[in-house]
Amino acid sequence: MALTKRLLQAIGGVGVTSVLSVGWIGPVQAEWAESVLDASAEYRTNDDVNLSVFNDDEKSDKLLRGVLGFSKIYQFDAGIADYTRLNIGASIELQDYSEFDGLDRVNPGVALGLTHKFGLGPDAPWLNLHVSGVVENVDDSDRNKNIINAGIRLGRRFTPRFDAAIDWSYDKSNGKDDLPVISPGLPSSVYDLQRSIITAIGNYQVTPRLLGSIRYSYLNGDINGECTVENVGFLLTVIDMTAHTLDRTFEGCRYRFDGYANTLGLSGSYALGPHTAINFGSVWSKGGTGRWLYRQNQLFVNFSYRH
Amino acid sequence: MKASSNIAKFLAISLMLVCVRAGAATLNAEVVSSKGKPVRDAVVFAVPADPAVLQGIQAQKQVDVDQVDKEFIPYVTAVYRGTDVNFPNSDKIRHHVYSFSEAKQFEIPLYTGAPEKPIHFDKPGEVALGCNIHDWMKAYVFVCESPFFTTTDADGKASLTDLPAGQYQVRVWHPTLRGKPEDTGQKVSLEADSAPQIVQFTIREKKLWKPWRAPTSTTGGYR
Ligand SMILES: [Cu+2]
Repeated sequence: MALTKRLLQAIGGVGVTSVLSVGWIGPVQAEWAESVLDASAEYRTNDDVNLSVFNDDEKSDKLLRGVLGFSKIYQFDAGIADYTRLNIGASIELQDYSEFDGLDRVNPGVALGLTHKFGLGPDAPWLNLHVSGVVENVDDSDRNKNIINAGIRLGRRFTPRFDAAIDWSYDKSNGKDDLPVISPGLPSSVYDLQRSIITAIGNYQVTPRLLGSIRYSYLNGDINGECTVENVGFLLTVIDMTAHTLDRTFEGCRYRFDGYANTLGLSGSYALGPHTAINFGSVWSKGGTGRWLYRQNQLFVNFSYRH
Repeated sequence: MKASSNIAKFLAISLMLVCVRAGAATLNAEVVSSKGKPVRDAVVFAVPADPAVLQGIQAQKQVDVDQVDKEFIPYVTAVYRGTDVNFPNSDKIRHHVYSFSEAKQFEIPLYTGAPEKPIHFDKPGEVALGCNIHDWMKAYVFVCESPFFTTTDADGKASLTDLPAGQYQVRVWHPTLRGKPEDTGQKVSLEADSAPQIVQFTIREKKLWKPWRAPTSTTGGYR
Protein backbone atom coordinates (compact mmCIF):
# COMPACT_ATOMS: atom_id res chain seq x y z
CA MET A 1 0.00 0.00 0.00
CA ALA A 2 2.83 2.39 0.87
CA LEU A 3 4.42 1.52 -2.46
CA THR A 4 1.22 2.29 -4.33
CA LYS A 5 0.96 5.63 -2.60
CA ARG A 6 4.57 6.44 -3.39
CA LEU A 7 3.91 5.49 -7.00
CA LEU A 8 0.87 7.79 -7.12
CA GLN A 9 2.89 10.59 -5.57
CA ALA A 10 5.69 9.99 -8.04
CA ILE A 11 3.29 10.28 -10.93
CA GLY A 12 1.92 13.36 -9.12
CA GLY A 13 1.06 16.74 -10.49
CA VAL A 14 -2.50 15.74 -11.25
CA GLY A 15 -5.29 16.96 -9.01
CA VAL A 16 -6.83 13.55 -8.55
CA THR A 17 -3.73 12.21 -6.87
CA SER A 18 -4.11 14.39 -3.81
CA VAL A 19 -7.78 13.50 -3.54
CA LEU A 20 -6.87 9.85 -3.71
CA SER A 21 -4.17 10.16 -1.12
CA VAL A 22 -6.72 11.61 1.32
CA GLY A 23 -9.06 8.71 0.63
CA TRP A 24 -6.16 6.30 0.99
CA ILE A 25 -4.86 7.48 4.34
CA GLY A 26 -8.18 8.42 5.88
CA PRO A 27 -10.98 6.12 6.99
CA VAL A 28 -11.68 3.33 4.55
CA GLN A 29 -14.20 4.82 2.17
CA ALA A 30 -13.64 2.47 -0.69
CA GLU A 31 -14.00 -1.19 -1.36
CA TRP A 32 -12.93 -3.71 -3.94
CA ALA A 33 -15.59 -3.06 -6.45
CA GLU A 34 -14.92 -5.20 -9.45
CA SER A 35 -12.90 -8.19 -10.57
CA VAL A 36 -12.18 -8.49 -14.24
CA LEU A 37 -10.91 -11.60 -16.00
CA ASP A 38 -9.42 -11.18 -19.47
CA ALA A 39 -8.47 -14.02 -21.75
CA SER A 40 -7.58 -14.11 -25.40
CA ALA A 41 -6.19 -16.56 -27.94
CA GLU A 42 -4.63 -15.15 -31.08
CA TYR A 43 -3.09 -16.14 -34.37
CA ARG A 44 -0.68 -13.61 -35.85
CA THR A 45 1.54 -13.35 -38.90
CA ASN A 46 4.61 -11.10 -38.99
CA ASP A 47 6.59 -10.49 -42.18
CA ASP A 48 9.65 -8.90 -40.55
CA VAL A 49 9.96 -10.61 -37.23
CA ASN A 50 13.65 -9.65 -36.91
CA LEU A 51 12.96 -5.96 -37.71
CA SER A 52 15.66 -5.93 -40.36
CA VAL A 53 16.31 -2.74 -42.28
CA PHE A 54 17.64 -4.84 -45.17
CA ASN A 55 14.95 -6.34 -47.39
CA ASP A 56 17.04 -9.44 -48.10
CA ASP A 57 17.49 -10.15 -44.41
CA GLU A 58 13.81 -9.95 -43.43
CA LYS A 59 12.43 -13.12 -41.79
CA SER A 60 8.76 -13.87 -41.50
CA ASP A 61 6.94 -16.07 -39.02
CA LYS A 62 3.56 -16.97 -37.59
CA LEU A 63 2.72 -17.21 -33.95
CA LEU A 64 0.04 -18.28 -31.53
CA ARG A 65 -0.44 -15.91 -28.65
CA GLY A 66 -2.43 -16.39 -25.48
CA VAL A 67 -3.06 -13.82 -22.76
CA LEU A 68 -4.67 -14.38 -19.39
CA GLY A 69 -5.18 -11.44 -17.08
CA PHE A 70 -6.90 -10.72 -13.84
CA SER A 71 -7.52 -7.32 -12.37
CA LYS A 72 -9.21 -5.75 -9.41
CA ILE A 73 -10.74 -2.33 -9.67
CA TYR A 74 -10.75 -0.31 -6.50
CA GLN A 75 -13.53 2.25 -6.56
CA PHE A 76 -13.25 5.36 -4.43
CA ASP A 77 -16.44 6.84 -3.11
CA ALA A 78 -15.79 10.12 -1.37
CA GLY A 79 -16.71 13.40 -3.10
CA ILE A 80 -15.20 13.70 -6.56
CA ALA A 81 -13.42 10.40 -5.93
CA ASP A 82 -16.76 8.85 -6.94
CA TYR A 83 -15.29 9.26 -10.39
CA THR A 84 -11.90 7.70 -9.65
CA ARG A 85 -10.86 4.08 -9.97
CA LEU A 86 -7.64 2.25 -9.27
CA ASN A 87 -6.98 -0.82 -11.37
CA ILE A 88 -4.44 -3.41 -10.21
CA GLY A 89 -3.81 -6.26 -12.58
CA ALA A 90 -1.61 -9.25 -13.21
CA SER A 91 -1.30 -11.08 -16.50
CA ILE A 92 0.60 -13.76 -18.29
CA GLU A 93 1.28 -13.82 -22.01
CA LEU A 94 2.48 -16.80 -24.04
CA GLN A 95 3.91 -16.59 -27.55
CA ASP A 96 4.62 -19.66 -29.62
CA TYR A 97 6.35 -19.05 -32.97
CA SER A 98 6.03 -21.67 -35.66
CA GLU A 99 9.52 -21.30 -37.18
CA PHE A 100 11.84 -19.32 -34.91
CA ASP A 101 11.39 -21.21 -31.65
CA GLY A 102 14.03 -18.99 -30.07
CA LEU A 103 11.38 -16.25 -29.97
CA ASP A 104 8.90 -18.31 -27.93
CA ARG A 105 8.25 -16.64 -24.63
CA VAL A 106 6.30 -16.47 -21.40
CA ASN A 107 5.76 -12.95 -20.13
CA PRO A 108 4.31 -12.43 -16.67
CA GLY A 109 3.33 -8.84 -15.98
CA VAL A 110 1.72 -6.50 -13.51
CA ALA A 111 -0.13 -3.26 -14.18
CA LEU A 112 -1.46 -0.40 -12.16
CA GLY A 113 -3.88 2.18 -13.54
CA LEU A 114 -5.59 5.17 -12.02
CA THR A 115 -8.53 6.55 -13.96
CA HIS A 116 -10.49 9.67 -13.22
CA LYS A 117 -13.61 10.63 -15.11
CA PHE A 118 -14.31 14.35 -15.22
CA GLY A 119 -18.01 14.35 -14.51
CA LEU A 120 -21.16 12.42 -15.11
CA GLY A 121 -22.31 10.78 -18.32
CA PRO A 122 -20.85 8.74 -21.16
CA ASP A 123 -19.20 11.73 -22.84
CA ALA A 124 -17.30 13.04 -19.82
CA PRO A 125 -13.56 12.98 -20.57
CA TRP A 126 -11.30 10.73 -18.52
CA LEU A 127 -7.65 10.66 -17.59
CA ASN A 128 -5.69 7.49 -16.93
CA LEU A 129 -2.25 7.17 -15.39
CA HIS A 130 -0.72 3.78 -16.02
CA VAL A 131 2.37 1.89 -14.98
CA SER A 132 3.22 -1.66 -15.96
CA GLY A 133 6.06 -4.11 -15.66
CA VAL A 134 6.71 -7.21 -17.76
CA VAL A 135 9.38 -9.89 -17.43
CA GLU A 136 10.07 -11.47 -20.82
CA ASN A 137 11.31 -15.04 -20.48
CA VAL A 138 12.40 -15.98 -23.98
CA ASP A 139 13.53 -19.38 -25.27
CA ASP A 140 16.66 -17.73 -26.64
CA SER A 141 17.63 -16.43 -23.21
CA ASP A 142 19.87 -13.72 -24.74
CA ARG A 143 16.61 -11.94 -25.43
CA ASN A 144 15.37 -11.98 -21.83
CA LYS A 145 14.47 -8.56 -20.59
CA ASN A 146 12.42 -6.60 -18.11
CA ILE A 147 10.19 -3.83 -19.42
CA ILE A 148 8.76 -0.96 -17.46
CA ASN A 149 6.20 1.35 -19.03
CA ALA A 150 4.57 4.41 -17.53
CA GLY A 151 2.23 6.80 -19.22
CA ILE A 152 -0.78 9.00 -19.28
CA ARG A 153 -3.88 8.63 -21.40
CA LEU A 154 -6.65 11.10 -22.02
CA GLY A 155 -9.88 9.90 -23.58
CA ARG A 156 -13.37 10.96 -24.39
CA ARG A 157 -16.50 9.56 -25.90
CA PHE A 158 -17.81 12.03 -28.47
CA THR A 159 -20.97 10.16 -29.47
CA PRO A 160 -22.38 6.77 -28.44
CA ARG A 161 -20.70 5.44 -31.60
CA PHE A 162 -17.34 7.16 -31.43
CA ASP A 163 -14.67 7.50 -28.78
CA ALA A 164 -11.03 8.50 -28.94
CA ALA A 165 -7.98 8.66 -26.74
CA ILE A 166 -4.42 9.94 -26.85
CA ASP A 167 -1.64 8.35 -24.88
CA TRP A 168 1.92 9.24 -24.06
CA SER A 169 4.13 6.62 -22.49
CA TYR A 170 7.75 6.04 -21.63
CA ASP A 171 9.13 2.56 -22.07
CA LYS A 172 12.36 1.20 -20.63
CA SER A 173 13.71 -2.30 -21.30
CA ASN A 174 16.57 -3.82 -19.43
CA GLY A 175 18.24 -6.76 -21.14
CA LYS A 176 21.12 -9.06 -20.21
CA ASP A 177 24.52 -7.56 -19.39
CA ASP A 178 26.70 -10.45 -20.60
CA LEU A 179 25.90 -10.65 -24.32
CA PRO A 180 28.99 -11.20 -26.50
CA VAL A 181 30.85 -8.03 -27.47
CA ILE A 182 31.86 -8.20 -31.14
CA SER A 183 33.36 -4.76 -31.68
CA PRO A 184 35.59 -3.48 -28.92
CA GLY A 185 34.29 -0.16 -27.71
CA LEU A 186 30.71 -0.80 -28.82
CA PRO A 187 28.44 -2.19 -26.10
CA SER A 188 26.49 -5.42 -26.58
CA SER A 189 23.40 -4.26 -24.68
CA VAL A 190 21.06 -4.33 -27.70
CA TYR A 191 18.02 -5.11 -25.52
CA ASP A 192 18.50 -2.11 -23.23
CA LEU A 193 15.99 0.21 -24.83
CA GLN A 194 14.48 3.55 -23.89
CA ARG A 195 11.73 5.09 -25.93
CA SER A 196 8.79 7.43 -25.69
CA ILE A 197 5.61 6.65 -27.57
CA ILE A 198 2.68 8.86 -28.51
CA THR A 199 -0.46 7.01 -29.54
CA ALA A 200 -3.83 8.13 -30.87
CA ILE A 201 -6.76 5.70 -30.83
CA GLY A 202 -10.20 6.04 -32.35
CA ASN A 203 -13.09 3.57 -32.14
CA TYR A 204 -16.20 3.79 -34.28
CA GLN A 205 -19.22 1.48 -34.25
CA VAL A 206 -19.92 0.46 -37.81
CA THR A 207 -22.92 -1.62 -36.74
CA PRO A 208 -24.17 -2.44 -33.21
CA ARG A 209 -22.10 -5.64 -33.54
CA LEU A 210 -19.00 -4.32 -35.30
CA LEU A 211 -16.49 -1.85 -33.94
CA GLY A 212 -13.82 -0.41 -36.20
CA SER A 213 -10.63 0.91 -34.59
CA ILE A 214 -7.70 2.94 -35.80
CA ARG A 215 -4.50 3.31 -33.85
CA TYR A 216 -1.49 5.36 -34.79
CA SER A 217 1.68 5.63 -32.77
CA TYR A 218 4.96 7.46 -33.06
CA LEU A 219 7.92 6.01 -31.23
CA ASN A 220 11.08 7.92 -30.55
CA GLY A 221 14.17 6.29 -29.06
CA ASP A 222 16.11 3.07 -29.35
CA ILE A 223 15.39 0.85 -32.32
CA ASN A 224 16.84 -2.62 -32.64
CA GLY A 225 16.94 -5.10 -35.45
CA GLU A 226 18.88 -7.95 -37.01
CA CYS A 227 20.81 -8.59 -40.21
CA THR A 228 23.60 -10.75 -41.60
CA VAL A 229 27.15 -10.28 -40.40
CA GLU A 230 28.13 -8.81 -43.82
CA ASN A 231 25.34 -6.23 -43.73
CA VAL A 232 26.03 -5.15 -40.16
CA GLY A 233 29.57 -4.23 -41.22
CA PHE A 234 28.09 -1.93 -43.83
CA LEU A 235 25.42 -0.58 -41.46
CA LEU A 236 28.16 0.41 -39.01
CA THR A 237 29.53 2.80 -41.62
CA VAL A 238 26.21 4.54 -42.38
CA ILE A 239 24.42 4.88 -39.01
CA ASP A 240 25.43 5.68 -35.45
CA MET A 241 25.06 2.24 -33.95
CA THR A 242 24.85 2.34 -30.16
CA ALA A 243 25.18 -1.41 -29.51
CA HIS A 244 25.53 -4.69 -31.30
CA THR A 245 25.93 -8.38 -30.57
CA LEU A 246 25.40 -11.82 -32.09
CA ASP A 247 21.84 -13.08 -32.61
CA ARG A 248 21.56 -16.83 -32.00
CA THR A 249 17.96 -17.15 -33.20
CA PHE A 250 18.52 -15.57 -36.60
CA GLU A 251 22.23 -16.47 -36.83
CA GLY A 252 23.21 -12.92 -37.65
CA CYS A 253 23.93 -9.70 -35.80
CA ARG A 254 21.59 -7.76 -33.59
CA TYR A 255 22.08 -3.99 -33.53
CA ARG A 256 20.66 -0.95 -31.78
CA PHE A 257 20.56 2.67 -32.86
CA ASP A 258 18.65 5.83 -32.12
CA GLY A 259 15.65 6.32 -34.38
CA TYR A 260 11.92 6.51 -34.69
CA ALA A 261 9.00 4.34 -35.81
CA ASN A 262 5.55 5.04 -37.17
CA THR A 263 2.93 2.38 -36.59
CA LEU A 264 -0.58 2.28 -37.95
CA GLY A 265 -3.12 -0.33 -36.90
CA LEU A 266 -6.56 -0.93 -38.32
CA SER A 267 -8.74 -3.44 -36.56
CA GLY A 268 -12.26 -4.69 -36.22
CA SER A 269 -14.07 -6.21 -33.29
CA TYR A 270 -17.08 -8.40 -33.85
CA ALA A 271 -19.10 -8.79 -30.64
CA LEU A 272 -20.40 -12.29 -30.06
CA GLY A 273 -21.99 -11.20 -26.79
CA PRO A 274 -21.36 -8.78 -23.93
CA HIS A 275 -18.29 -10.74 -22.81
CA THR A 276 -16.86 -12.18 -26.01
CA ALA A 277 -15.59 -10.89 -29.33
CA ILE A 278 -13.60 -11.87 -32.38
CA ASN A 279 -10.97 -9.22 -33.08
CA PHE A 280 -8.99 -8.97 -36.28
CA GLY A 281 -6.71 -6.46 -37.87
CA SER A 282 -3.52 -5.38 -39.45
CA VAL A 283 -0.55 -3.45 -38.07
CA TRP A 284 1.96 -1.68 -40.32
CA SER A 285 5.15 -0.39 -38.82
CA LYS A 286 8.02 1.51 -40.38
CA GLY A 287 10.98 2.48 -38.25
CA GLY A 288 14.66 3.29 -38.29
CA THR A 289 16.72 6.30 -39.11
CA GLY A 290 17.32 8.24 -42.35
CA ARG A 291 16.80 5.86 -45.26
CA TRP A 292 17.55 2.83 -43.08
CA LEU A 293 14.06 1.70 -42.22
CA TYR A 294 12.45 -1.59 -41.37
CA ARG A 295 8.95 -2.32 -42.65
CA GLN A 296 6.93 -4.77 -40.63
CA ASN A 297 3.40 -5.91 -41.45
CA GLN A 298 1.32 -8.02 -39.11
CA LEU A 299 -2.10 -9.59 -39.44
CA PHE A 300 -3.98 -10.98 -36.48
CA VAL A 301 -7.23 -12.60 -35.47
CA ASN A 302 -8.15 -13.37 -31.89
CA PHE A 303 -10.94 -14.54 -29.67
CA SER A 304 -11.32 -12.41 -26.55
CA TYR A 305 -13.24 -12.96 -23.38
CA ARG A 306 -13.76 -10.42 -20.62
CA HIS A 307 -15.86 -10.89 -17.52
CA MET B 1 -65.23 10.51 13.12
CA LYS B 2 -61.93 9.49 11.47
CA ALA B 3 -62.97 5.82 11.37
CA SER B 4 -66.26 6.60 9.68
CA SER B 5 -64.60 8.73 7.02
CA ASN B 6 -62.15 5.90 6.33
CA ILE B 7 -65.04 3.45 5.94
CA ALA B 8 -66.75 5.89 3.56
CA LYS B 9 -63.52 6.15 1.51
CA PHE B 10 -63.17 2.36 1.40
CA LEU B 11 -66.77 1.97 0.23
CA ALA B 12 -66.34 4.63 -2.43
CA ILE B 13 -63.16 3.00 -3.82
CA SER B 14 -64.74 -0.48 -3.72
CA LEU B 15 -67.78 0.81 -5.58
CA MET B 16 -65.54 2.44 -8.18
CA LEU B 17 -63.57 -0.78 -8.69
CA VAL B 18 -66.79 -2.80 -9.03
CA CYS B 19 -68.02 -0.28 -11.61
CA VAL B 20 -64.73 -0.52 -13.55
CA ARG B 21 -64.77 -4.32 -13.57
CA ALA B 22 -68.43 -4.51 -14.48
CA GLY B 23 -68.11 -2.29 -17.54
CA ALA B 24 -64.53 -3.22 -18.51
CA ALA B 25 -63.17 -3.42 -22.02
CA THR B 26 -60.01 -4.87 -23.56
CA LEU B 27 -57.69 -3.35 -26.09
CA ASN B 28 -55.14 -5.44 -28.00
CA ALA B 29 -52.22 -3.58 -29.52
CA GLU B 30 -49.60 -4.53 -32.06
CA VAL B 31 -46.52 -2.46 -32.78
CA VAL B 32 -44.34 -2.94 -35.84
CA SER B 33 -41.43 -0.98 -37.30
CA SER B 34 -41.59 0.73 -40.69
CA LYS B 35 -39.93 -2.43 -42.05
CA GLY B 36 -42.78 -4.53 -40.65
CA LYS B 37 -40.75 -6.12 -37.85
CA PRO B 38 -42.36 -6.53 -34.40
CA VAL B 39 -41.21 -3.92 -31.88
CA ARG B 40 -40.47 -5.23 -28.43
CA ASP B 41 -40.57 -3.04 -25.28
CA ALA B 42 -42.91 -0.46 -26.82
CA VAL B 43 -45.12 1.26 -24.27
CA VAL B 44 -48.77 1.38 -25.37
CA PHE B 45 -50.96 3.67 -23.30
CA ALA B 46 -54.58 4.82 -23.49
CA VAL B 47 -55.36 8.43 -22.52
CA PRO B 48 -59.05 8.83 -21.66
CA ALA B 49 -60.92 11.70 -23.34
CA ASP B 50 -62.69 12.35 -20.07
CA PRO B 51 -60.09 13.20 -17.40
CA ALA B 52 -62.64 12.34 -14.70
CA VAL B 53 -61.90 8.67 -15.44
CA LEU B 54 -58.49 9.16 -13.87
CA GLN B 55 -59.85 10.47 -10.58
CA GLY B 56 -59.02 8.31 -7.62
CA ILE B 57 -56.60 6.09 -9.52
CA GLN B 58 -53.38 5.83 -7.59
CA ALA B 59 -49.92 5.15 -9.00
CA GLN B 60 -48.36 1.79 -8.19
CA LYS B 61 -46.64 1.84 -4.82
CA GLN B 62 -43.24 0.79 -6.04
CA VAL B 63 -41.55 -0.47 -9.18
CA ASP B 64 -38.02 -1.94 -9.45
CA VAL B 65 -35.40 -1.44 -12.13
CA ASP B 66 -32.68 -3.96 -11.30
CA GLN B 67 -29.01 -4.15 -12.32
CA VAL B 68 -27.70 -7.58 -13.27
CA ASP B 69 -24.36 -8.40 -14.95
CA LYS B 70 -23.76 -4.70 -15.55
CA GLU B 71 -27.04 -4.16 -17.41
CA PHE B 72 -30.34 -2.62 -16.35
CA ILE B 73 -33.24 -5.07 -16.18
CA PRO B 74 -35.75 -4.47 -17.71
CA TYR B 75 -34.72 -2.32 -20.65
CA VAL B 76 -38.02 -0.39 -20.62
CA THR B 77 -40.17 0.23 -17.55
CA ALA B 78 -43.49 2.04 -17.93
CA VAL B 79 -44.99 3.75 -14.87
CA TYR B 80 -47.91 6.05 -14.14
CA ARG B 81 -46.85 9.53 -13.06
CA GLY B 82 -46.38 9.71 -9.32
CA THR B 83 -44.74 6.29 -9.11
CA ASP B 84 -41.69 5.64 -6.95
CA VAL B 85 -39.04 3.61 -8.75
CA ASN B 86 -36.42 1.67 -6.83
CA PHE B 87 -33.03 0.89 -8.37
CA PRO B 88 -31.83 -2.19 -6.50
CA ASN B 89 -28.40 -3.45 -7.52
CA SER B 90 -28.19 -7.25 -7.74
CA ASP B 91 -24.54 -7.13 -8.82
CA LYS B 92 -21.82 -7.47 -6.22
CA ILE B 93 -20.14 -4.37 -7.60
CA ARG B 94 -21.14 -0.72 -7.38
CA HIS B 95 -23.18 1.17 -9.93
CA HIS B 96 -23.69 4.92 -10.28
CA VAL B 97 -27.14 5.53 -11.75
CA TYR B 98 -28.15 8.84 -13.28
CA SER B 99 -30.44 10.54 -15.76
CA PHE B 100 -30.15 13.86 -17.59
CA SER B 101 -33.65 13.62 -19.10
CA GLU B 102 -36.05 16.54 -18.97
CA ALA B 103 -38.75 14.43 -17.33
CA LYS B 104 -36.45 13.50 -14.44
CA GLN B 105 -32.91 14.42 -13.55
CA PHE B 106 -31.32 12.47 -10.74
CA GLU B 107 -28.15 10.77 -9.60
CA ILE B 108 -27.63 7.88 -7.20
CA PRO B 109 -23.89 7.87 -6.54
CA LEU B 110 -22.01 4.59 -6.18
CA TYR B 111 -23.95 2.00 -4.25
CA THR B 112 -24.47 -1.68 -3.76
CA GLY B 113 -27.72 -3.33 -2.63
CA ALA B 114 -30.75 -1.06 -2.42
CA PRO B 115 -30.46 2.74 -2.44
CA GLU B 116 -31.80 4.52 0.65
CA LYS B 117 -34.74 6.12 -1.16
CA PRO B 118 -36.63 5.37 -4.35
CA ILE B 119 -36.81 8.01 -7.10
CA HIS B 120 -40.18 9.71 -7.55
CA PHE B 121 -41.28 10.09 -11.19
CA ASP B 122 -43.99 12.74 -11.46
CA LYS B 123 -43.51 14.29 -14.90
CA PRO B 124 -44.70 12.42 -18.00
CA GLY B 125 -42.10 11.61 -20.62
CA GLU B 126 -39.06 9.45 -21.29
CA VAL B 127 -36.26 9.13 -18.78
CA ALA B 128 -33.02 7.70 -20.16
CA LEU B 129 -30.97 5.91 -17.50
CA GLY B 130 -27.23 5.49 -17.45
CA CYS B 131 -24.45 4.24 -15.18
CA ASN B 132 -21.38 6.43 -14.82
CA ILE B 133 -19.06 3.47 -14.33
CA HIS B 134 -20.35 1.26 -17.13
CA ASP B 135 -21.14 3.60 -20.01
CA TRP B 136 -22.81 0.86 -22.03
CA MET B 137 -25.56 0.43 -19.42
CA LYS B 138 -28.68 2.00 -20.92
CA ALA B 139 -32.36 1.66 -20.05
CA TYR B 140 -35.51 3.75 -19.97
CA VAL B 141 -38.34 4.65 -17.64
CA PHE B 142 -41.36 5.95 -19.50
CA VAL B 143 -43.67 8.00 -17.30
CA CYS B 144 -47.23 7.79 -18.64
CA GLU B 145 -49.87 10.43 -18.18
CA SER B 146 -52.43 7.66 -17.96
CA PRO B 147 -52.62 4.66 -15.62
CA PHE B 148 -53.72 2.49 -18.57
CA PHE B 149 -50.46 1.28 -20.06
CA THR B 150 -48.65 -1.89 -21.03
CA THR B 151 -45.46 -2.92 -22.87
CA THR B 152 -45.18 -5.12 -25.92
CA ASP B 153 -43.62 -8.58 -25.92
CA ALA B 154 -41.12 -10.01 -28.41
CA ASP B 155 -43.93 -10.32 -30.98
CA GLY B 156 -44.70 -6.62 -30.61
CA LYS B 157 -48.01 -7.46 -28.95
CA ALA B 158 -49.63 -6.20 -25.75
CA SER B 159 -53.03 -6.15 -24.10
CA LEU B 160 -54.75 -3.50 -22.00
CA THR B 161 -57.47 -5.09 -19.92
CA ASP B 162 -60.05 -3.74 -17.48
CA LEU B 163 -60.32 -0.39 -19.24
CA PRO B 164 -63.41 1.61 -18.26
CA ALA B 165 -65.75 2.10 -21.23
CA GLY B 166 -65.33 5.43 -23.02
CA GLN B 167 -63.32 7.39 -25.54
CA TYR B 168 -59.52 7.14 -25.57
CA GLN B 169 -56.55 8.23 -27.49
CA VAL B 170 -54.14 5.28 -27.69
CA ARG B 171 -50.48 6.19 -28.10
CA VAL B 172 -47.18 4.39 -28.32
CA TRP B 173 -43.65 5.18 -27.19
CA HIS B 174 -40.38 3.35 -27.73
CA PRO B 175 -36.73 4.42 -27.20
CA THR B 176 -36.23 4.38 -30.96
CA LEU B 177 -39.44 6.28 -31.78
CA ARG B 178 -38.88 9.17 -34.18
CA GLY B 179 -41.16 11.99 -33.03
CA LYS B 180 -43.49 12.32 -30.07
CA PRO B 181 -45.94 9.75 -28.69
CA GLU B 182 -48.69 12.38 -29.21
CA ASP B 183 -48.12 12.06 -32.95
CA THR B 184 -48.91 8.33 -32.80
CA GLY B 185 -52.37 8.80 -31.21
CA GLN B 186 -55.32 6.75 -32.47
CA LYS B 187 -58.87 7.42 -31.27
CA VAL B 188 -60.83 4.45 -30.01
CA SER B 189 -64.23 4.15 -28.45
CA LEU B 190 -64.58 1.26 -26.02
CA GLU B 191 -67.88 -0.25 -25.06
CA ALA B 192 -68.38 -2.24 -21.90
CA ASP B 193 -68.10 -6.02 -22.20
CA SER B 194 -67.63 -5.91 -25.95
CA ALA B 195 -65.11 -7.97 -27.94
CA PRO B 196 -61.47 -6.72 -27.60
CA GLN B 197 -60.58 -3.88 -29.95
CA ILE B 198 -57.36 -4.03 -31.93
CA VAL B 199 -55.02 -1.10 -32.57
CA GLN B 200 -51.99 -1.34 -34.79
CA PHE B 201 -49.02 0.99 -34.81
CA THR B 202 -46.29 1.30 -37.37
CA ILE B 203 -43.55 3.43 -35.91
CA ARG B 204 -40.78 5.29 -37.66
CA GLU B 205 -37.57 4.32 -35.90
CA LYS B 206 -34.37 6.20 -35.33
CA LYS B 207 -31.10 4.30 -34.87
CA LEU B 208 -30.09 4.14 -31.23
CA TRP B 209 -26.46 3.41 -30.31
CA LYS B 210 -25.06 2.46 -26.98
CA PRO B 211 -21.39 2.59 -26.02
CA TRP B 212 -19.39 -0.53 -26.88
CA ARG B 213 -19.06 -3.22 -24.25
CA ALA B 214 -17.40 -6.34 -25.73
CA PRO B 215 -13.61 -6.79 -25.40
CA THR B 216 -11.54 -5.15 -28.17
CA SER B 217 -7.93 -5.34 -29.31
CA THR B 218 -7.36 -1.65 -28.61
CA THR B 219 -8.04 -1.40 -24.91
CA GLY B 220 -9.59 1.97 -24.48
CA GLY B 221 -12.58 3.73 -23.13
CA TYR B 222 -13.56 4.25 -19.56
CA ARG B 223 -14.20 1.00 -17.71
CU1 LIG C 1 -22.69 0.30 -13.57
